[in-house]
Amino acid sequence: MTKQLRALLIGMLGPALQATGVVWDLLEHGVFARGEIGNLTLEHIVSGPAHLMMATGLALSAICIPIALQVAAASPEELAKPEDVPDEAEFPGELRTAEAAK
Amino acid sequence: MLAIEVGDLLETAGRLPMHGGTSGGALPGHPFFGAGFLFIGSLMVVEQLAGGVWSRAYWRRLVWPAALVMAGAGMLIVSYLQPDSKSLHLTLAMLLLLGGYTEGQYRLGKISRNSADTFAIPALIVSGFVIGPMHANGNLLYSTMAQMHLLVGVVAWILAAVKLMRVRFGPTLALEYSFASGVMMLGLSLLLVQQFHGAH
Repeated sequence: MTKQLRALLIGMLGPALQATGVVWDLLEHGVFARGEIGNLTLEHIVSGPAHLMMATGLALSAICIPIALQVAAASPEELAKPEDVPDEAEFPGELRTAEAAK
Repeated sequence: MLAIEVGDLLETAGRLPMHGGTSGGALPGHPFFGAGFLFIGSLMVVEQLAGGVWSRAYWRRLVWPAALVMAGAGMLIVSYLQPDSKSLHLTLAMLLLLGGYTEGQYRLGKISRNSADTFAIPALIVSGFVIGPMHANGNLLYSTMAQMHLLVGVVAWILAAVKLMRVRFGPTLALEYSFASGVMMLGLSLLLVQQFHGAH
C-alpha cells in the first residue's frame, strides 16, 4: 500500500464516520421515526446513536488529520511496524519443523 | 403505482421499533460505550495504517490499554448506579480492567503478545456470554433489543476467534485489521442496542 493511499484512508476515516452518522440520522428521522421529529428531547440529542457516531467522526478527524500528514511525509522505513516482543516459550519456525521431523 | 409501493414501504418502515436515544428511564450506557469502542477501534485501524509513525508518540502506544481501563472504570460506575444486572456489569468491569492491565504490559514490552492473548481470548469468550445470552433480557425470537444484545456477544466471540487465529497462524496484517475492524463493529453493535432500546 502506498503511503499516499495510507494517508488518504487515515484522513478520510473520520469524515466517513460522520457521513455514516448523518445518513443514519436522516434515515431515522426521515423514514423510520418520522413522527418523533417534533418531540426531540435533550436525552435523544446527547445519546442518540447517530449523533454519537457523528461526534466520534469529528473527534477522529481532529486526531487523524495530523497523523495522515505525518504518514504522507514519512519514509517507507518509518512506515514499517516495530517488531513484537518475542515469546520465549515459542520455538522458532525452523526448530519447530526440525522437532516435527524427528 | 411505484409511488404507492414506495409509500407503503415507508409506512411499513415507520412501524419498525426504532427509538434511538430513548432509554425508557434506564441509564443510557450503551451508546457511550458504543461510541467509545467505535472511536478506539477506528484508532486501531489508523494504527495499522500508520505503521511506525504511530509509535512516534509514546502515549499513542498506550491508547488501547488506557481505553480498556477507562471502559472498565465506566462499567464499575454503571454496576454501582444500575439497579439490575449488577453482577454482570461487575464481571465485565473486572474483565475490562484486567484486559487493560495485560494489554498495557504487552505495549510496554513486559510480556509477549501470546501471553497477553492467554488472558484476552478467554476474557472475550466470557464477555460474549455475559453481554449476549445472559444480558439479553427478553425473548430472542421476538425482542429486537435481546437480539441486538446477542449481536454484541457474537461480535465479542468473533474477536476471540480472530485472536485464536493469530495464535494459530501467527501475526498477519489481515488479522490485525480484522481485530481493529471487529472493535469498531463492537462499538457499532452497542450503538444498535441503543437504537432499538425502545423496542423491548
